Amino acid sequence: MGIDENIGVVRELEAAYAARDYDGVRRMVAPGIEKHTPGADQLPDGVEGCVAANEGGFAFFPDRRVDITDIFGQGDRVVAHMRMSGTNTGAPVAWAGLTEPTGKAVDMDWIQISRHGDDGRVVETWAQMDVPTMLVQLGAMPAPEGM
Amino acid sequence: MATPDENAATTRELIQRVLNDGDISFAEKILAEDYVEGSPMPGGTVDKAGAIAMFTMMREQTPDMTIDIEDVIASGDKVAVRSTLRATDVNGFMPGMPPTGKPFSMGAIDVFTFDEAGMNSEHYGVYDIAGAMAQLGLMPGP
Repeated sequence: MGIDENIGVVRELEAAYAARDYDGVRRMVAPGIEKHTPGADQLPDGVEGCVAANEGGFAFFPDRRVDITDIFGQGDRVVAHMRMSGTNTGAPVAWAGLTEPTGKAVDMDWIQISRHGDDGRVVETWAQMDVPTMLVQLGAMPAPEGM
Repeated sequence: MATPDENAATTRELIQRVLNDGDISFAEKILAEDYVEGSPMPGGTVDKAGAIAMFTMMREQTPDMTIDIEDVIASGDKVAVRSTLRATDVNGFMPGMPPTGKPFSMGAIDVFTFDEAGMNSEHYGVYDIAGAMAQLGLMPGP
């Protein structure tokens, strides 16, 4: 597949995550996908970890919305800049030390690199998320000086 | 029009000379006058002067810092870099927090945009700051 097709897969995959369409996710993500995102070792292996992470996001932020703000690629890799907004009206973000849902709105970004197989499926991902911004917005961490 | 390969080479040179070698004058030369920083440090400005101040501060906070580039993806006017920064927290890596003297590593993904003359006109990046803080004992791990 060419780079335009791989970019198309990333867009379609985000739509599937938004719709919680996990048959679609399992069609576009290789079962044994390797995930290098910090915290991925806390998730189930392979594509089921991607499903679990997405469900976790909806559990914390039931109104979760993800927008792709930038996307490009070269060869078998696609770079996507994502922006997530939502309100923590669901489960408390326990890993941040919170015991109650905060009701607060968050708006944070991440950059994801995906590597695609010849059939376009995602076989490997690397991502970095702006976790500190989310923790400050949730009130789980003090704002750094100057913010 | 600078090609993606030329922009990728400029990006590698920017990281090597400015951040690894501490040659801030190369940033003065290669950042466009209308540069826009999409990920300013807390309290920092989004213009060229703010970016230069950020590079200078990083070199002061962690003088032994090295960035190892693990992947470069270039297309059109954009260049993405996946890297790991390794350093010792000598002078206070986290603004407002005391220096710990400990070594740490931090994963990063950066995106640089270049103008037609091949000057770096824009940048944004996301860093594993939470992971670095956990290594320095400044924040509990998830």
